[in-house]
Amino acid sequence: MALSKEKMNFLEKKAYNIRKHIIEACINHGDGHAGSSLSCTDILAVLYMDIMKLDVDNPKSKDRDYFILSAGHKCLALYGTLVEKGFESASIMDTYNQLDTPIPGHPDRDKFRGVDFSTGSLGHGLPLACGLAKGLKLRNQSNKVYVLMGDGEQGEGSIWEAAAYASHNKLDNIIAFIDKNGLQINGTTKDVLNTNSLKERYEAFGWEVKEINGHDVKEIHETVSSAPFTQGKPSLIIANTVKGKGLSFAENNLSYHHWDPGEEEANIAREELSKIGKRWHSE
Amino acid sequence: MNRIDPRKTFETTLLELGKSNENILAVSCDSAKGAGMSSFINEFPDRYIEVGISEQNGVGICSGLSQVDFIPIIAVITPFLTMRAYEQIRTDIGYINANVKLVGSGGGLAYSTLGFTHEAIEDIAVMRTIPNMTILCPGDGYEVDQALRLAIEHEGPVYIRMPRHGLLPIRAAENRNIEIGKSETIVEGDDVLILATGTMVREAVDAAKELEASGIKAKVESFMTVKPIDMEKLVDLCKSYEHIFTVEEHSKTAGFGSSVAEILISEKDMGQVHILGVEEGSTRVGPYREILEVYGLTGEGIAKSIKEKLK
Ligand SMILES: Cc1ncc(C[n+]2csc(CCOP(=O)(O)OP(=O)(O)O)c2C)c(N)n1
Ligand SMILES: [Mg+2]
Repeated sequence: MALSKEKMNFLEKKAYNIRKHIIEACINHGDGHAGSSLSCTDILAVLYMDIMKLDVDNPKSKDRDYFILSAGHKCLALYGTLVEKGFESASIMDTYNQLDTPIPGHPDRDKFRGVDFSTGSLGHGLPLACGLAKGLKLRNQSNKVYVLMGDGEQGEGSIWEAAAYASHNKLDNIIAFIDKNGLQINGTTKDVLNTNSLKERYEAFGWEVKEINGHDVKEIHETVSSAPFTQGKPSLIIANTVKGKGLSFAENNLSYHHWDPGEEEANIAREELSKIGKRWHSE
Repeated sequence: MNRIDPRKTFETTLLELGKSNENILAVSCDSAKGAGMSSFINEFPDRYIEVGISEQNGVGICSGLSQVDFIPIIAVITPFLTMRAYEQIRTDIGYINANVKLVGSGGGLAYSTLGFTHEAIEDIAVMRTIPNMTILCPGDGYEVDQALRLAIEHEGPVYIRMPRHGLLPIRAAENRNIEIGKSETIVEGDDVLILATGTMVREAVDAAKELEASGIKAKVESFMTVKPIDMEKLVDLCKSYEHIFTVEEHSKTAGFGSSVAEILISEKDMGQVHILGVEEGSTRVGPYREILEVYGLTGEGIAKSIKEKLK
């Protein structure tokens, strides 16, 4: 199904709005995982705005598709997305880093409507997805389970235990993403623990894998829409991304894994945002 | 008074120890900087073992390294070390008495803005069950430095629970004498006994000041070593007080207070134990000092709890 120009524009605008939420939260309320959140923004925008079956008025609806943010530190992107989808009002972003905020530094399912699992400890997402997907199959339900992981996160053994389980059990209702930005905390993934053969590894584990540009909403949309890629196999989308995407000085920069902006950076960030935003303000 | 950044102290001491003992290795699971290992790694790149985000693997690797006489120090955000790799720590470190030093980056509520995945209010509880494990909970800059030195001197597994936020000194360094397994009297007083560990010692000192203003004289005893606990001193002290308060930045379940209670229960004529800490399963989030207030774990909060009990 080809993506119309209008739809593409809509998705890009939503992604822009989410980026703005991420950046403003850090500027206004200090330290957040900006780099990590900005690299998965376009994927979340496409999933939540046009792919997943969701009911904003009934977030626990039995018909919904599930999303698990395995790399929970990317939560600012999730919060921004849920706000843009209408789960909460934008003012919630102003509680970030404050006492009893519903939007802590990692997502908590008991604090924010629309969050299905409390994540933040890496390597939990794929096992959770397997359990959900298996349960849905046992119940003869056709809901999909989306899960987003980091590339550094692939170091966790639990992911590989789950990867084997998913294919063994033919869980083709799992659609996993790896946000492959090439960086983690101590350095590039290449230096820390090489992840260059992820495609081959997952294929050897019985998955069907596609590799895309994780910032091209059209490509993201087309690829997710075609999942499961093969009947009876779990699908993996390796999304090549740029950590810190949309914040020039943070792009591909190890120092912006998390970000506590000073005044100068805040000004540059806002200038850059408003330049990009002109595209829609003139509409 | 200036607060000391515990990570900087850790970093300086680690570098110094690394210079005098070439068996020391820094093992990291993709979190070297946050753990205060950067200076060591820059100085001794060959003694830096990076395992990526794989904590269970990291602990197993440490056990293996220790078998050829290296002294691996592995530092990881606390839950991912003590809980994720619990069974590896138990089987591959504890039971075989491996000479590995485990450092929990950010004990207790240190990561209070990051939510319950990163907070660590169960680490003392789980580490306490591991045979041969020594548990050190430093509460100021001096103790961070000493804990690391003592851990390296000690042959066998040691768990160091690292604070993360700026620390005020518990007392002047020249008046101190710290040994593994020995508690230390910080404030003298006859009316109530406060037993505290780690970051809560300094808060207990503040509480004692507040109590004094209300005419209550509290004795504050510091337990940087939670295991093996100073049993002799503990039993001796607890005979002389009607009310004993334990304070920890940890769940009230199975932590420092519980370990005190376990000992006192089989002794005669002991005072009554009251455990101050965090309610099991609490998930409040927010800035660190505010969260300590919420749980009544500031000097003021501790004094208030004590006054209420004594009423
Ligand atoms: C089990 C566990 N270990 C360590 C961490 C600390 N940590 C948070 S993010 C991160 C790096 C993640 O890198 P990657 O998966 O590549 O995600 P990115 O930030 O690059 O998007 C680490 C080590 C954690 N949250 N959970
Ligand atoms: Mg990455």
